Amino acid sequence: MNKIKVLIIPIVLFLIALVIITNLGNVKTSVKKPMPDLPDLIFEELSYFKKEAIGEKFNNQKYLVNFFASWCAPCLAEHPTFMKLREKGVIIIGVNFRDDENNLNAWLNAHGNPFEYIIRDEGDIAFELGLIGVPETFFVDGKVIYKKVQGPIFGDDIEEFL
Amino acid sequence: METTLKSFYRLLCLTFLLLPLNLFAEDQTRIDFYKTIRCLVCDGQSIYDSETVFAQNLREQIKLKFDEGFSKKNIKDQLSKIYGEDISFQPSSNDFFLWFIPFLILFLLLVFNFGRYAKKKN
Repeated sequence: MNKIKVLIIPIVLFLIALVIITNLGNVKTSVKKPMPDLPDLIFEELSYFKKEAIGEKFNNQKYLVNFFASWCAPCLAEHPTFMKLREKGVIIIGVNFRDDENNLNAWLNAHGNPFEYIIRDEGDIAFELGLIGVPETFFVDGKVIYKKVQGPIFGDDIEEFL
Repeated sequence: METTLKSFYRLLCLTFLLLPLNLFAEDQTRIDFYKTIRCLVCDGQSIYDSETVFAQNLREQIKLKFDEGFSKKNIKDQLSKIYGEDISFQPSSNDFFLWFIPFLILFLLLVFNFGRYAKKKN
């Protein structure tokens, strides 16, 4: 009987520990899943105003990719930050997410255009990047995303980039 | 010859009549799949229940994948890769220990108690 007891207790403890460790591993991977590179769609699609593809123009540079929409109030909140960044020479690619063309034009006319290129997205680029909502900003080096900010971006987020 | 033609026309009519049922079945498969996908910006809702932009976009993208011929498993794997395991209401069956350990503990306890009972009886 004692032999069974001696065996069972360590086995149960071992299994409990195993479950805890397995689950901790899951949490870790779901939080720290590697960020994808920017999808090629962004570089291949004709941009809204310039009617040319971005191609490989920014291959060796750091730049921002900002998902925005005219119907999104927080996008307006972060807009002045982007206007200032544009003045400082920061390259920002705007991805206009599920928006009406007339509303986009009116929004840019009213508030200014901080974007080097604007790509219109019906949702497929957002899907590939795992977008949760707008605004969302990706910090990119070449094509590699090294940081992501969900929600409006302000000065503190950008200092490191500058 | 006439009978063959009649049969052919009957078959053709039947096919056209049953076609909407097939489309409906495809829709239902998709709806059932939407119900297993969590809306990440809502509290406990699936993308089928939610009207957020996130849910709308995901529904449209999943529909496109279905139209392109991807299987449910392929789409689920792709979603898990992009958004993580949290996107699905159905946890991965790979967590063998998570599912199996309660039964194992129960079994070990039964063995343990049976040993004690046998000892008392003796």
